[in-house]
Amino acid sequence: MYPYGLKINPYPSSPTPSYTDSQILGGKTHKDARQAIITCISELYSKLDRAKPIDRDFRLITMIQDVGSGKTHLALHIKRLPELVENTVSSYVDLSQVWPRDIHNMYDSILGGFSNVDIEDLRKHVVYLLCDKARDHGKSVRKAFNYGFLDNLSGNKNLKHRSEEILKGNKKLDFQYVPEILRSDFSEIQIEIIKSLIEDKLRSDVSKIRSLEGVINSLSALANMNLKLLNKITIFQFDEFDSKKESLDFIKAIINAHIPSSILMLILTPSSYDEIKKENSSVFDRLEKANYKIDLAGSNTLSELNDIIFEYIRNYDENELFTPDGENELSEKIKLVYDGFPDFRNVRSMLNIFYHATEEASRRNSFMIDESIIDDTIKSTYPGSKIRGSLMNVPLSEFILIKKGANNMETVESDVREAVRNLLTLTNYEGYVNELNFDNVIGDGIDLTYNDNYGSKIAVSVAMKDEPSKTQAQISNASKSLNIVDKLVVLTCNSGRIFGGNSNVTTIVNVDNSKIIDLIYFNNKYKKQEILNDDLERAITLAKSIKLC
Amino acid sequence: MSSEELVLEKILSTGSYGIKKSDLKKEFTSFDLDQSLENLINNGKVCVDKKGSAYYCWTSELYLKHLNNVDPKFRILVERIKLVERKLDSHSNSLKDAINNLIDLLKPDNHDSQNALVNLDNFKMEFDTVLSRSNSSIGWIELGQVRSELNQKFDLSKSDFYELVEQLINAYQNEYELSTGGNEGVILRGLLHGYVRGI
Repeated sequence: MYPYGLKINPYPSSPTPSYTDSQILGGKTHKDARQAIITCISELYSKLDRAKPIDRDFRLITMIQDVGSGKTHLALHIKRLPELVENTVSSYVDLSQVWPRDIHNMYDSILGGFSNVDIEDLRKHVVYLLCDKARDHGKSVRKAFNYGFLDNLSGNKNLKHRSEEILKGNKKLDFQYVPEILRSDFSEIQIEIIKSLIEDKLRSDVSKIRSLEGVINSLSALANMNLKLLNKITIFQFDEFDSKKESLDFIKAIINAHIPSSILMLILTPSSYDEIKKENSSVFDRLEKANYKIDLAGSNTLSELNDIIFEYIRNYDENELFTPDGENELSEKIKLVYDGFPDFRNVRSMLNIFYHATEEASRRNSFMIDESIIDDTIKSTYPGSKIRGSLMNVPLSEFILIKKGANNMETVESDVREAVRNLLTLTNYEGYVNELNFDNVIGDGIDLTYNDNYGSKIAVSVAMKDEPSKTQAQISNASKSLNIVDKLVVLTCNSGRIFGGNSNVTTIVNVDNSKIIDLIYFNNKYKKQEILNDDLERAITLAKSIKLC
Repeated sequence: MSSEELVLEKILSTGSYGIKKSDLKKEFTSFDLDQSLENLINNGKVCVDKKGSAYYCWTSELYLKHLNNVDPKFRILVERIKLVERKLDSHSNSLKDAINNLIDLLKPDNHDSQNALVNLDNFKMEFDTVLSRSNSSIGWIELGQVRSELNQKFDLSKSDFYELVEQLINAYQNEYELSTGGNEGVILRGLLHGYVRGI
């Protein structure tokens, strides 16, 4: 059993989205983007002249966002949307898989990008259309269907039945009679495509295409057939669109062709968009004029990730065991990962962590995903990862505990002061500093003094008041010691750290939250005499990072 | 080698112990030792002083060393002088720094020297201004371009700039987003994130 009573792990485990995983779509940004695409399709669909679509019946959509933010997921998701299944046929092409990008490979990939269901549907409609044509072309249709006098005698009641036999592959269609039947409704290219379709050679006939113009004509023919026979718009999706010349030339041709009753959707990253701008201003100009620019701004924000993670659970939560309390608790864990590990601040990484955390929870038979599960998950799945800015490799569970206590500035100051003393005691023992003096003999605001390796006398002041003015006063007091010591190091958490200035005698060190947690974690271990070799090295690094040695 | 050089070499070879004047006289008989010694004394190369009942000769450096060894008052005095010397050096350096700073301040392009100091708040303000001026229709802008524009305002090193960018992104997670690519930027998940935009 999985956490929250789930029967399966709801999260995808593949590094890129699969069709199956893409059924679930969470997050306001992603849902808004989906709505924008639906609107675009509906708008085009409503304006189409079914009998004679023209080049104005073409739309260009761009979807630009960083890797791992859910673009591909959204592209695959819309293929399966119930509200779009009825009025669209789409071909998804991952350009990263198309190489070399010559016209044959590109065209083949587009054909391969249609689902088998759509291809089969088109085939079925063609065969039934031929069947219907018996009213005007009875003789030719019967010949095409190999339907003779004996068929009537043997019980084959009608052509409809023969159509089904053909579709099942039990009977063959004699195509030599088909052009005559369809000539009035379909172009030569379309009849060729229909032939390939019926003979199940659609992709193997790709080599017959000789030019880019031929590809465009074929795509136009296909889009037209989709509209005529299925009453559907055709969507051409190109994922991983980049600035390679072959891609740009091909896409430019498609845009210029304005294939009627079709939508071209280009999915790319901001850097690709920028590179296209530099590589080919003509294509860039066309992209700039896209009818819809799907913006996934904020797709990796905390609230968005929260919603996406919840959506997967909700989708499989048949017994409604994922309660609001459970949501709140899980939300805290998500925030923890989000704050502590900037590397995971994107949809793909976060889903991956929660996939593994869900597996781990299942192994532990835990109803929920707690800190220790996430901690172990990150350690095992991303062994090199550590909490943002942490030098001491603080475990997540300890991190949470220390962080809770780190909100009280008064206690933090004394905790940090004690940690600094112990850290310097350790560095003194290791020979990095000497002549440690913890007795405040040189003035207000100074917590300790020591000599560094060069014999310079250093004074340290820990100034972490909750009000900046108090901190400033403390630093000011400490500065008076400068006529006695060679250098003053002020450790403060005041975020107003000054950059760009340089003082040879006073060093202001910004001790941010991660350093405070590191110091307190070190101190706890030091007091328990649990500092091991690895910790020792990290502690020295910590001391160096706050300019103590 | 001249007679003076011969005498100086002999004195030098005896180190801080020195050599009796009478011993020199015994050794150098072929020329007028007194005259040579007087020349060396006048040039400051040799010192003659009484040690016990006899007169000894040293080179000036070795004579100081000799005094330092045998005369505590001299030793203390030397230490004091060294202290004064160090203090003078230090004041001289401070004075030099002060003059240099003054020169810097008087330079016409230093009227904006206050602007060279930047904290997260004023960095954010200027950063946002650059982002809002971005002419990209999708809002993304290269961090390298932002840095280049902010360099006109702040005197920031590349590492200081990206440290501030990281702080900014962490402090205002819901206001900015980064994207991979570009030539310089922030490393996340081992990937260079060289594009930024405001959300």
